[in-house]
Parts: sequence; structure tokens; C-alpha cells
Amino acid sequence: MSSILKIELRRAFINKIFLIALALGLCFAIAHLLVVVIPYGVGDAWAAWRTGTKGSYPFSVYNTWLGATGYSIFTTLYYFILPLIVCLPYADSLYMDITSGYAANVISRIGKTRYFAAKAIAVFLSAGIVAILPLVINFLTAALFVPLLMPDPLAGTFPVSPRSMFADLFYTAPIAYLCIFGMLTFVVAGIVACLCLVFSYLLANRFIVLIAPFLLCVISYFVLTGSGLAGYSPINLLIPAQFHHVQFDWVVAVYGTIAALSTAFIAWRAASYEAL
Amino acid sequence: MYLEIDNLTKTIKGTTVLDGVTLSLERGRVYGLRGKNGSGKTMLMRAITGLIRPTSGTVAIEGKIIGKDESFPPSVGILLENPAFVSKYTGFKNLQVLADIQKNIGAEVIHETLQKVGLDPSDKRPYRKYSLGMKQRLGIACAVMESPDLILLDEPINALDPTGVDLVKSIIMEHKKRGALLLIACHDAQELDYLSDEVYYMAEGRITGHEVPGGDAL
Repeated sequence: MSSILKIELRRAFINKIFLIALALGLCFAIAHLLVVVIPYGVGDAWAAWRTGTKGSYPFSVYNTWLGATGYSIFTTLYYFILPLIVCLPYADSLYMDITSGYAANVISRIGKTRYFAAKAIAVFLSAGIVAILPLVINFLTAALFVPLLMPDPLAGTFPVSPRSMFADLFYTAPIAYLCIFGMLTFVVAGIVACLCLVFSYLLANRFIVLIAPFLLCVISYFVLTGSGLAGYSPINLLIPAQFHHVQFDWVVAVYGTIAALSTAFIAWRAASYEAL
Repeated sequence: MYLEIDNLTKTIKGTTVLDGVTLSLERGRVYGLRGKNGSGKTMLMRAITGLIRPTSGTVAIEGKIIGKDESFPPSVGILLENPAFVSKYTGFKNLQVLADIQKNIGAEVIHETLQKVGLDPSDKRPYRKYSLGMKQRLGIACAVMESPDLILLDEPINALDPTGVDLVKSIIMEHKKRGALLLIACHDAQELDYLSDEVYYMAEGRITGHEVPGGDAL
């Protein structure tokens, strides 16, 4: 690993704001466990099912963990603020480095391309980790209280309908389904945070640079909801409980285009970098 | 000559900030740049380090054109206007992070350099808590710690007390003796004359004069 990448990763991860962002996400994940998962796992409903007095198919971890309970305030809030918390750890660092002059210090030692590449990788990875770690912790803890029963399409209680993206996978290999959503969350969170690198050149205020991707996600959430394409907004797209239908090839096309345009913009700015 | 600047011109949004600058500078000497604010001193230093691209003309180091043969000078230390570091790191940590990029020096050299500029290497305060003078000293330490062949110092004695000024003078002389080329921009004419072997005058992006301190203006 190149020295500049190590330095950027260290700055991104060994960082109080990274811990604060992670703690924010964990607050929702833990609150969800305390309010939704544990009361169900140790409560009467589950106990009644074990004794055979409840209906045919109980809620399993696949419809009680954070990603499956779209009706829960914690799930709604977590996915709503996700585009903001993933930007917190390090996404504004390019803006800060350039405006303070620190970027010139580094670039004169390592060159433009490696500096910008290392910066983008560090921003992408820190955002991805902040996005998925609370989900992983929530899922694993939920699995301690609620069993991992194979989802049954006939039960009618699972948040994935036959028209949902990867529906077959959910009912045949649910862990694989969740892994795919984990990867999707990681990548989309990374892309959203990397938009701050683009905004670092378009906006002239650190705070606005930091919240611009979040505002963009919120605007897309309301605009797309009105146009029947709600599922493509990052706020809805990443929830494994799919209340809005999307097609995977369109997801790849939309987010791939955003990522490609962002990369091209950052590469252009890197090539034309001047410490004016 | 180690550093050759040939007819260097830089235009930014229609304003010419460097206008046909031509200089030949050799190692083991200290060159001063004198001029009013906005005369182009800092911009010239940025062009030499490759941090801005010339509109026309060239900067060559040992015959290699910056921006064409090399992206940046291979061995350069810079202090440009206000020093910039990671605000939450200590002075030592900041220098260590930058030194880790090229891995030319270890912790001992950083330790020694900080002591030379009058900073305590074991100071646990983050950079943001440093006074202006301490920030300036750290900036100078950063520019010289890797003993580069080319050292560019823009207003190195800004915000320094008399002790700090003396330390900077001795550092400049030390690096001159080991054969580095030093280019210094400074508002204090007396200090610049004391430190420099030759002084160039700048106005409106052009070199308008040349003087050997103690000798005649050319």
C-alpha cells in the first residue's frame, strides 16, 4: 500500500468525527434492538409461538432486524440520515486541505494523482464502514434473540415481495441477499460521500460541502417519490425491506453514471490542480 | 546552473501575475526576492515548485522541465505564506506524517529539526493550539527537515521573535553551507540583505532589478 494511502486512511479512521458518526449510526441500531428486537425476542409473542399456540410462521431475524422493519422509526431515521453520517468522518477533508494549503504540502511530495486517488479511496472506505457497521452489529445482535428461520414466501410477513429486487435470492439464500444489500449500501454510501469531493470545487463553505450530498439525497427522495421512482433515491434504495420496486440494472446504470461522472470530475480537477 | 527559469509567464483570469521572468540560480547560495505585496514573489515560488502551471515559459531543475520532464522538483522544501498542517496533530506528528510520504528521514531527524527551530518535540499540544510564531517555526522545520536541494521560504521570519529570527538565520546558513539553493521572499530589507548573496527585485510580475548586498544595484 502506498505511503500516502496509509496516511489518508489513518486520517480518515483514527479520527474523533469517524467515531462520532459511527456512534450516531449505532445509536439507531441499538435503540432498534432495545425497542423492537429484544421485546419481541424475549416477549410473549415469541414464547407463545414456541409453545405452538401462535400462528404458523413466526417473525424471524429476517423481518425483525433494522433493515427489515421499514415501519420502525429507527429504520426510517437511520436510512434517512445515512447520506449525512457517511460524509461526516472525512468527506470534507479535500476542501479543508485545499483551502488551508495543506494539500500543496502533500502534493509537492507525492504528486497530484496519488494524492487525489488516496483521498477518494479514504473517503469511500470511511463512508462505507460507517454505513454498514451499525447494520452488521444490529443484525448479529438481533440473531442472538430471534432465530434465523428461512424466510417463507407463503408466510406473507416478509418485506420482500416477488417483484422486489433479488426476491428469489431472499427466499433461497437470505444471507447472500443481505450481503448483496450490504455491498450495495457500502458502495452507494461511498459514492454519496465522494460527492463531497466534487462539491469541494463547486461550493465555498465547508459546512455546505459536507451537507450537500445529504441535501441532494433528500431532494431526490421527495422528487422521485412524487414521480413514482421513489425506490431509486438512496434513502429508499438501501433498505432491504423493499417498499418501492427498483430494477437492478437501472440501479447500476444510475449509480454507475454518478460514480463515473464524479470520478471524471475529480480526475480532471486533479490533473488541473494549482495551488493558487 | 541548478535552477533555470526562462521567460516564465502566468496569467490568471486575464491578469498577468508573472511576466517573462528569467533567472538562473545555482546551489550553495541564498537568493532574496524583494517586492511589494502582489508583485509576484509568492507566485514565482509556486511556479518553481510546480504548484502552478506556467502560461508560457519554463522552470527547469538540472535541465529537467517542471511540468514536462518532472511533475515537481525532485527535492524541494517549501514554506508558502501561512504554514498549513493537520490541526489535531501535534507538531511532531505533523512532520512525521509528511516525512512518511517519501521516507527519507526518521523520527530522530524530525526530533532534531524541531529542536533547531526552537520547538519542543515532545509537546503534546495539537497544532491548532500553537501560537503564530510556533506555527511559523513548524513550517520552517517542515521545509528543511528532509535537507532538500531546493528550499523556498516565503516570509520565513513573519511572526517570529528575535530569538526565532536568529534561529532561522542559522538554519538558512547551515543549509547554504551543505549546498542547498535557498530562495527567500521577505519584507524586511535589512534581514533579506543580511541573509542573501543576491537579491532580485520584483514588481508587477517582473524582475525589475538585481543587487548583491554590499555591492551595487544592477
